[in-house]
Amino acid sequence: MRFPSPFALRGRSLALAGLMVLATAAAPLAASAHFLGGKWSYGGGVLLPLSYVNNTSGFSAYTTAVSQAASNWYATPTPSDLYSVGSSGNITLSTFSDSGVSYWGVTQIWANQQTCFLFICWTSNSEIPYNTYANPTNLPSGWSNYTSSAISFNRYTMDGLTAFMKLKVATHELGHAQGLGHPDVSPYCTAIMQQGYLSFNTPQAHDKYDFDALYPGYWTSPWAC
Amino acid sequence: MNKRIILGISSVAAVLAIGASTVALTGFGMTERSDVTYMTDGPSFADVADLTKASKAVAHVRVVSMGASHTIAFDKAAAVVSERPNGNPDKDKGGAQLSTTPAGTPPTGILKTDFVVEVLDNVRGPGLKKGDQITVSQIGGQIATKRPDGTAGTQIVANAEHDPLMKVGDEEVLFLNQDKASGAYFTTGGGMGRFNIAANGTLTAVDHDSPIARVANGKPASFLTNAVKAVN
Repeated sequence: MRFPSPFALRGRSLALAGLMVLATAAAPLAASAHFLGGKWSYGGGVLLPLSYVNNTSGFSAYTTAVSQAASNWYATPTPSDLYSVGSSGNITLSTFSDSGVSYWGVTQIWANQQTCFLFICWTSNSEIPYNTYANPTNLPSGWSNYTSSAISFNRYTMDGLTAFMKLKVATHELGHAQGLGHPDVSPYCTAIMQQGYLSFNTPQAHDKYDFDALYPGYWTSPWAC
Repeated sequence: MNKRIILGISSVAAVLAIGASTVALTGFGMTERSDVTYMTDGPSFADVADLTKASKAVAHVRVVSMGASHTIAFDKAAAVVSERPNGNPDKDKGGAQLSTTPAGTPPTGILKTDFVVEVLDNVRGPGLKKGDQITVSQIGGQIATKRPDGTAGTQIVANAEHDPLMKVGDEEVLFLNQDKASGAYFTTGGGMGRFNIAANGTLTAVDHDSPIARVANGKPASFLTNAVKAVN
């Protein structure tokens, strides 16, 4: 009967320990999903049709970017189904010009909030209290689903961006408007929901996974990173 | 007889309770508070050198006062309707569906607020010196709404994500650029260009997610200012 050498055992143990250390060290490199809290009303397993009003007439570069950004989301294996209307949309997109900030785009989201004091309760339509969650999470107590969203592009800071980057910003902001937040990402895991200059301008595997996690049942994108 | 008395007392109690609640809500100035956050996208900076080169000035400041908030109005542009996307066979087979969520009332602009800050130390850049008081603008602010009867309504407090409104009395190292139109300064990259200095002199990046936060947090303020001065 042969027994393994104690040195061989030690070697395997060391190798295993080394692998575990590597795995632990590599874990923070993975992107943790980020969600804003709350979402649009969604029955599950179906499309999520949301209308948008593209108030960018006269600023054709932005008109194009918004239209292409909606197509970007439509093309993903997610329930995202954004469509353009002339008025009364779920999401409103506008431009402004402010030379006193460095931001490119800003997104706001509203939801109904029931507030109670003693036994008197009332409902108001307020902007959501943004947060970052690793998993899809409801808004705090009293809040219901999103009712509307507004996206605005700062022409002063964006006019100098390439068409490629304008599309990146529009796709990023439409991601916010649908409930996605900024993920913590590593160089090995990319997402359109990252801030700043990127070498791509379409939703990435991580974004699709997040979207399907937030609105489950229609599609299940594989976990990417 | 007893039932009538109990009913009467209950009714009076209910009316008093409702009245008290209303007085508490309005008469004593109690207002709803709505905390709002603007989610943003903008340039990002990999390190201190990157941030410094993108800034006109870097200064250690103390926040002196907060001005009234105002709204930057959106352009009055008409809507452009584009064709509904197609080409995704799975989505197309379902046909065009309409949203079941009713449209909301769109906003007319975004809030901004001006702060007056005193320069405690000009770390880098011409034009600023110790003792100067300059205006720094930020996205966000506070605005009070009124109910139809004129009483105080909701107090809206808006902050940009990772770039909360500055607090009077706080000390920060600010990476600044200047608005040519108004002369006011603004921080480079929003919260990325702000580092709070605690009472014990240590740094906390206001944008806790920025790459610079990982190297600067918990270090003395001199760590950052020396790094800025070393940038060619």
